[in-house]
Amino acid sequence: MIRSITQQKPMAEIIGHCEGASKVFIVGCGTCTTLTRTGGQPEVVKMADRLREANKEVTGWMVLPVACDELTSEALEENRDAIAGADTLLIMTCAFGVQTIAMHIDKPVVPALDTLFIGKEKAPGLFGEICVQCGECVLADTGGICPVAGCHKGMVNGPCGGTNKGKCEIDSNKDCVWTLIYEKLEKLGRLDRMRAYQPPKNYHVEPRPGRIIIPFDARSEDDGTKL
Amino acid sequence: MDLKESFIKNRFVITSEIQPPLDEDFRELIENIEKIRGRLDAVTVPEFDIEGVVADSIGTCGILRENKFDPILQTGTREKNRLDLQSFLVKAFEKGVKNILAFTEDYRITGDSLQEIMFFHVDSGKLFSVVDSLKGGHDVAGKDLKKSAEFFVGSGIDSACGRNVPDLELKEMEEMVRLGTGYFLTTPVFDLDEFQKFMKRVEPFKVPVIAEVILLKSANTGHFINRYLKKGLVPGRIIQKLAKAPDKEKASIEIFTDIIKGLKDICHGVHLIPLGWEGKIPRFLDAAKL
Repeated sequence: MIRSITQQKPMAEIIGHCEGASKVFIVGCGTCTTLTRTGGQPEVVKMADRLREANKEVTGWMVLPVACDELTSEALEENRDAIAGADTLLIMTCAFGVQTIAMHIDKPVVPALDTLFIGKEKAPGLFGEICVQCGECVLADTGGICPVAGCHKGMVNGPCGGTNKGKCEIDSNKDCVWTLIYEKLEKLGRLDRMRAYQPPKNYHVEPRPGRIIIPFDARSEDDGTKL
Repeated sequence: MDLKESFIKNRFVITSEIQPPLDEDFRELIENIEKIRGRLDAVTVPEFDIEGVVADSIGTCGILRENKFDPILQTGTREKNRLDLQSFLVKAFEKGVKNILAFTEDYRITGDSLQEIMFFHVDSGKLFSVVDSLKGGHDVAGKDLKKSAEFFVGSGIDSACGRNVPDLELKEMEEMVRLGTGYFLTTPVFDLDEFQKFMKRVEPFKVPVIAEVILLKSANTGHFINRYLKKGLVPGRIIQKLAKAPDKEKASIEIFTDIIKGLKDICHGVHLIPLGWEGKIPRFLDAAKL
């Protein structure tokens, strides 16, 4: 399952964003930030203690099941009074969750976390970036391993000169993705794909901010809602 | 002094990198290379050094041309899209630049302004597509230009051959040969035995290979290279020799001389990286009889 990978901001920055707010309500997320130990229940409880140490009153806290889900507005209702009593909401979810909560609550929201990348847990406690949503998928030529996300330089036509015994020149703890691709293609008997030339990428497949409208006819269970 | 001509005449080519001054005071730079006039075939001007961005590299090439030196404009293609590269190359051609050295630039992990964005939209292979367009008298979108621009292009390659998948680098070299590269410049060479093996493998390409040689100022320079450029690139024996030597420059010259002696018989030239010792290059060349 894809995950939004986060890390906590420095405490001084969090306190700085809460300046002028004496009462704070904290929101965590039971999905990605619980997995990354940045916004699950233990982290939310610890944050409440640290805010109290900084002379803030914590009016309450909750860990939403899935902060970016549309049911978030209903879940927040359960803590309506504690939220109403707060000057600011401190959000320990990824940026998707922060924005979802901001849509439903007319109170200042402060993100406690920085959202780093969209990835997955490759091994217990190890999170890696899998896809950067570049808009032009090259996986057919690369053995199903993405060089755009997996290479520091995003090289799509083979490795740079920095590949070193299968590791990356930037970080010897990281695998050189082109070595992985080479080995996979060799295993598949498709080394000829190493020669496939990837033309210059189109950086405007879907200009930001991305917005896609599914054609009316293609909506199998259209509810008539206008997009 | 003309790089292409030197290759045609089968000379043992000698080039050196210089750092364009940020304050645009070229006197020291010109003074230093005047001392080696006639001994260098060309001078490379980088866009970046290990610490960050250097001064106007095209302008520096122009100054070198005015002073009758043959400049090689080095472009790592980092932080440039194809439109930037196109205008960069047209401007360089207008300044009299005839030589380009293309490679995929390092991802910078040391030096200043590390928080700035780095992007690698164009790899060195794609740079050739820009070079080819200009040679054909049109831009990358196919529109005609007033005049064409033709360069003698060298390609940077890794002499360590991608290590555990050796033919990866050879595939890239094959592609560069197909695209018409005039010569290859390797990553820094310290281990002659390994380099000889590499040269045997690339001989069939029939493209001249120049070996990069770094003037090591101290053991710390060796440690720095191993830490930031490539782990294990500078052998321990060389670092130890520099660490123990009371006269670092003498030890560095001896190391340089040994490497050059070995390289003379196995490749087509050397490219010097003086790392601030531009003024001392004559002593190194004298000792190595270059």
